[in-house]
Amino acid sequence: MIGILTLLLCPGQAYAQQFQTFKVSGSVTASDTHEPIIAAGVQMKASNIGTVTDINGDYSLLVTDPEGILTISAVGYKTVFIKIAKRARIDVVLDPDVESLEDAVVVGYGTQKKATITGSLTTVDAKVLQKTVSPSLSNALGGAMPGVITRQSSGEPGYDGATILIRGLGTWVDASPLILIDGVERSIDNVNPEEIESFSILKDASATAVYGMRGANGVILITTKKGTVGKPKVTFRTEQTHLRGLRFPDYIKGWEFANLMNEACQVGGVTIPWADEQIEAFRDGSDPYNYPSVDWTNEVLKKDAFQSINNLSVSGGNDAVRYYVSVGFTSQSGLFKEDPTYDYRTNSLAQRYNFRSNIDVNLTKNLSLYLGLAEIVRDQTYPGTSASTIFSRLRTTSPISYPIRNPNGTFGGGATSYEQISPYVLVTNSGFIKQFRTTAQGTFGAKWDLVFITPGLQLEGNFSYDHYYYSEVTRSKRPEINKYIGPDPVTGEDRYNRIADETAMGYSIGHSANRTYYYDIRLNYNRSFNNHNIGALAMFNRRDYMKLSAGSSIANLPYRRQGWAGRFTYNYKQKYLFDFNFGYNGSENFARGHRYGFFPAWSAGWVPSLEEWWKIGWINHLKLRGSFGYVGNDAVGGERFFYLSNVNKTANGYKFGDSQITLNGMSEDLLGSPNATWEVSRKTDVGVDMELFKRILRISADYFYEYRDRILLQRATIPDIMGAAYGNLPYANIGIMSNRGVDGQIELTDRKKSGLFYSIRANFTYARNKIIEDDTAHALYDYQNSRGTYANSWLGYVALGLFQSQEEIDNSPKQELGSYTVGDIKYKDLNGDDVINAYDRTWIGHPRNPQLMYGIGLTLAYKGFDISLNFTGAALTDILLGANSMWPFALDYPGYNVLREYYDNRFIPGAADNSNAKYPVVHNGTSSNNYQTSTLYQRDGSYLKLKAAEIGYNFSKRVYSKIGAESLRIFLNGNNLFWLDNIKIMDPESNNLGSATYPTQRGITFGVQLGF
Amino acid sequence: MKKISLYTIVFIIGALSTITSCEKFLDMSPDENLTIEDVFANRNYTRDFLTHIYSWNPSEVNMADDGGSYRNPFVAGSDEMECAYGKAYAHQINSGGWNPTDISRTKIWPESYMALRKVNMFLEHVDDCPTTEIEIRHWKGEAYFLRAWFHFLVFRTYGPIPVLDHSLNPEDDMLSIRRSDVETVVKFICDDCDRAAECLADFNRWPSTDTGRALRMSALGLKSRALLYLASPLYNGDTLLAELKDPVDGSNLIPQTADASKWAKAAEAAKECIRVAKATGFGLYRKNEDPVLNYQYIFLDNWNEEILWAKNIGTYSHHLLCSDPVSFGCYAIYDPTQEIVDAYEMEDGSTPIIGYTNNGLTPIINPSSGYVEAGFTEESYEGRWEKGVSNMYTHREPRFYASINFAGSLWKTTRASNWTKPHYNEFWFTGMDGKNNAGSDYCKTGYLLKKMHNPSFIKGTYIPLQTSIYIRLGEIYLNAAEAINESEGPANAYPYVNEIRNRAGLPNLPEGLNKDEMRDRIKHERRIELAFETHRFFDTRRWLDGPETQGTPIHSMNIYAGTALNDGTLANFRGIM
Repeated sequence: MIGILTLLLCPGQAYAQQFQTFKVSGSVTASDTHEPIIAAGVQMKASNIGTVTDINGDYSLLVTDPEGILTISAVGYKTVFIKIAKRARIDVVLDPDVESLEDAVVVGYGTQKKATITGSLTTVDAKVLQKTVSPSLSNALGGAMPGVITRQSSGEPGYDGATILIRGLGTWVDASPLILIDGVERSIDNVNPEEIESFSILKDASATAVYGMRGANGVILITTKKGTVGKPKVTFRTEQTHLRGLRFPDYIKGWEFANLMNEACQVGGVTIPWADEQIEAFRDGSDPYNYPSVDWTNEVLKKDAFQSINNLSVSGGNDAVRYYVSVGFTSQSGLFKEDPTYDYRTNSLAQRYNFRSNIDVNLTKNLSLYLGLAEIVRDQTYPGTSASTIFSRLRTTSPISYPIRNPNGTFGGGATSYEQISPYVLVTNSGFIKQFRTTAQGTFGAKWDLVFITPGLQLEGNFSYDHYYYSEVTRSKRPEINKYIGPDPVTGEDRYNRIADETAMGYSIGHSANRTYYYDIRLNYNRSFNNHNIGALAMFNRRDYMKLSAGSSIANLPYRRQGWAGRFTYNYKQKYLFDFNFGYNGSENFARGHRYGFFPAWSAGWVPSLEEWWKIGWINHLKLRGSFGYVGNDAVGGERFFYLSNVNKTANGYKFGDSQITLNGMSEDLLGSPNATWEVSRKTDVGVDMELFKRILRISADYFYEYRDRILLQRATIPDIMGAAYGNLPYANIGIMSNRGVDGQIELTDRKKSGLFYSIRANFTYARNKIIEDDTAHALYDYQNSRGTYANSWLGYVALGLFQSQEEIDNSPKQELGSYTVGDIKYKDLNGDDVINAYDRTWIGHPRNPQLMYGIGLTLAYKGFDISLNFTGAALTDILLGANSMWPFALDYPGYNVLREYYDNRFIPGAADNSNAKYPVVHNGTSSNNYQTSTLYQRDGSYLKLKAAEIGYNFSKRVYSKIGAESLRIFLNGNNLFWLDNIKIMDPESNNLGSATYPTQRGITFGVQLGF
Repeated sequence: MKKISLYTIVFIIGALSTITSCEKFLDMSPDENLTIEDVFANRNYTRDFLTHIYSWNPSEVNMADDGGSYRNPFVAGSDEMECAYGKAYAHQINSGGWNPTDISRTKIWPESYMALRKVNMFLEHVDDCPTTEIEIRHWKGEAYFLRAWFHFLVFRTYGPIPVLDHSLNPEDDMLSIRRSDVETVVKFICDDCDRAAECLADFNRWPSTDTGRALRMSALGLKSRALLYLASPLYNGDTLLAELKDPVDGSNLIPQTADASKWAKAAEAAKECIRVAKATGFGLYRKNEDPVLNYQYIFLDNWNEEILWAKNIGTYSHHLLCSDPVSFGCYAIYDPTQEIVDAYEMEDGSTPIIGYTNNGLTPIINPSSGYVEAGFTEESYEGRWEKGVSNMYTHREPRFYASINFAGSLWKTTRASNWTKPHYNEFWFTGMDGKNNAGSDYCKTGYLLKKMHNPSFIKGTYIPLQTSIYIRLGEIYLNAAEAINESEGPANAYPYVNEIRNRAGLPNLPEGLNKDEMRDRIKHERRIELAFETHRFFDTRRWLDGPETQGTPIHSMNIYAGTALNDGTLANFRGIM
């Protein structure tokens, strides 16, 4: 490696000697502390010549062009550009880095000055994201910036990433945004927040048009840190977190379960199964084998877990080479209890190692190379049974089914399939699973200033290769399981029904792998002519993704895309701004002739505050902007080559002959749709940016409207009688959906003369979509038509409450959803035919992914202390609670466990007052009348969470210099400290019909950041 | 500037190399993408296409779960059986919750039409296949039969249905396809059966490598059943469904005037089926002298001479788990009702119970039958009952012992890997198969289904190869008897019923029955002989007997009591389920 670098450097050094030199020196100090800034970078603009300030903040530099421009930069301070103008001494005062209009912002395939941007994009400081101490970056996005809607539905280590939507759902096919890390599609949850240099989200057509048929769902751009000129700067950060599981499922006790069984039999008019003394036995635990009462949740889950995030990075460089290297280690343990007799681990553990090395080499004055290498290693351990099985088994195993262990020491179990193996055995005695993931990412780039052709022209190329390998080792086992059935009445010997024999620990392994290569080549042009500023980009890119261990020859074919993109920007005095962006690209997913699409977008801006007639002094900056354009989405479901009709060569076969040999079957497969193509989205955005009161207050807001057309759907109006096999109906570009909303942010930031710094930030995103056409059959009743409703809404009954008396039943419409009685759910007759049936369902509820999301952040800093609070909230979302364990004996009497939420709020037959009952009466069987999707089980899923709170102290130089350091910060951080919501029994972000998912956790973190 | 030139060249070559061959880059497509035409240009692929059509045959032995090709809610949806699995689709039928949203849980409609699309495609292309004329003729015969069969599966559930004699294109005007009236539907089924029988006229018996394929007898048997349905009251002059009309031309989908000649056609089809069967080596199964074993093995002796149309289900075991008791680690959810238990005759052919009082809870016992409910027997009868069982279960007809597992009956000598003692069913509360020792899957009625369960099955150890019968000759005898009684009178019906009774070890029907009495006897005989074979649900409907037989509560033993076989609390109690 070093050898290669040396080789690369030699021509550059030789080249630098060809110019005359001029010496500049001076000092760099901070405007807020008036202290010298150490290790600030001082560099000639657009060249490789640079140095760093010494311990006194002084620098001295030999430059080649006495008329050139010096760039002075330091972490945490705004970069300044100063013309040398033949001065030998230049002292510089740097202002603290508060977001500035002069900042360069990362946009699609390039950067732009914030002041000149006319599209809709948001950037966020990586430090804000870091406040949410989570191994998964996606969990930090919600509420951190306008335009993003997220939902984290699980807290399981390694699988706790959130769903991300940019400006809500624009399509019901695949609405996930394009996520680019250093320009390449990569997983967001592999990124270590410490490595992030910039984080942008692109929201409107103007910002995403260059991505063409990949841009319609919005784009997230993440760039990783690069080296800056200066002596090696070492940063070490460690965060140790104590996690506490929140809102474990709360099931009823054994005696309550027995009591509920009695109640059910009373309702059903059959023999009561448990006598009072038996219920007492469940309660007092005097006979744990015949009258068990097991709190399975408590037996398999522990409240506490740990998480550790550690990072070490070194960056620096000289005029030839700049480097950023980092290593990170993240570890998160799970909430499962373990059996101490085993020396292997069964509790979940997710560990991740991040390695990164970003090297920039200046080969000549105009030519630089970049090599970014990253390796992400993830090792995860889980119990031998998946978390979803464990949590659903908790829902199905009643407290009185059987004890954990029988009198003879073997494990208890039941005859019925869903409870044969107890949750305890699944968690502690079913072996373990180990997963190993390795992701290697390499990007090589070159940038060449073509000044010899014309100033401002630049050619750039990037090539990247990513490789992912996954292997999973399953070591599953099973202990002997018996059902204890009491002593033999004659011999008195204990009797058991054998449920399962013991099996030795097995071994099985699975692999998968994929690789991606991507390259692009770009021609950039940026130049100013007097007050006319012109920018242009033309580029070509190509991607090839391949599943190396695909299960079929078709899935093994590479997934390919290629395209051209371009941009033209023009502004006059940064006052009148125009942009034109386009993408022209193609995907192998579509037939020839339908492969390529052209996606143009236009945008314009006006900055009246720069006009000479502008007199409103307290408005320092005002920009009005608007955009319109087309973007596409080619992520249209998992099918490939759906333009081709084909034959399934291994369709279901059939057994023939006395020895019943299965003969192979062949069948028609997907019906081809040769005209299928991508979705196209027509997006309009109108926005305003303002800076007020000496730029203390910043406001920006956008209104957006999107019309998504040609959504690729399987034809739904083709009736079953056509006989296409499941999933084989042809596709057609027939869906239409609109999506509109507003997003915005307001930020108040000020530093008082006393040194007090404060900042209040608020942002919100509201997005509401509407299905215009989904090719479903027109419903008999308008209120059942999905057109006009939200995507991902649900059809259900309107519950009017519970029947309080037989008289009420007699006077109500007949319900044809299964038998019902007093205490059961009463539904509304929507079509007035005096009968409740499927025609009385309508669209109820807001979708599970919220339509409104907001965040509020507060930061106060004074003399080394700082405190920050980040609240995240969501509204206009509903959650359905109706599911197993909210429906008592949902499988059949007395199957399945029952949540306390139901038990404490149920209709009790014969009770004096049932008017507060929230849930229907219990039955000694299933009750399809009560198991319908209805408003009775629907809850408002709004919440406000104190997602992150941090208090930190930055030690003074006096302290950290003693240990030879350059900065030292300690902090205490709390995640999920406080929730305000209506759900109470589980995380309001859980999936519908939830309570069977892995709980999320509260984290209390102690952290140290040390710089050398 | 020399160096710059060098870099320039490298850069430009690099840049150009990326953009070359642009159009080809996206020309990805499967290397071997067969079309339908390719399939029918190859003999083996054509055969595979036909094989796949068979795969849509339902697994009727799965009476517990809905969905997929496992779809038989009809046994537990009738008065024969309770399915103790709470999510069984049959409960929707029983509780009146069958509505437009959950009807899709039975996949009968969509999957039958999926099969029909493939059959029609097969028939449209098979003549292109490069193989022998004989093979094409046989294949066509199988395809015509399958087209009739899948239409019949939809017809028996939905009555008037769209008839499809060709495959549809997505662009076709689907709204122009309407339900045909039941006469048209049955005529279409019968025409296809005739074509199949003609094509397969020389295909009388299966070679051992091809059992499971449709035969001439399959077609003749199906035709008999379809014509019997068409002649039955539900479809023959039933004015209850007068409003079921074609929405366009207003014609009735069910004929509003009865036509007695339909019985004659049904009788003719059944007789023809029996005649050809006898002439080609088919016959009623009579391999065992013991009528209990003989009846039991009709369903366990694969591809015996009584089977006209059946499915190889291999080592499928779900139904076996569903009908073994909980002490075997099984689900015990195929639970015959007290009603079907009461319906079995005594060994002398007398009727034990002639009615009920007290809302069905108290039986009216026929004193001359010798049936008693009180007490426990001191005698045993090998292969039928053991000493100590309730007197209810003694001296019943042989088919009872071949079909029903009851408290105290001997069931298998090996129940699990660690067990070799004979097992006697303990369905009382504290018994090892009882409610007290089960989860939510438990024997709810005090009975388990024995019929169609191969006793060599041991959970986790051994599953035998099995078949599941759709049509057997025994049914055709009863089809003939029913149709002949209606069209020719009772006298000619006797031989067909008596042949079935004698084979089951029962005496002849009493002489001198009039037409109505004979009809009741034939209905009873179907109920017992064809019990649990997916007939009862449809029979009671086509007879319009549903309100009396299906609209009433079903009953069970008291599974919430009893600490021993003979303590009398399990038996001698009837409760409403």
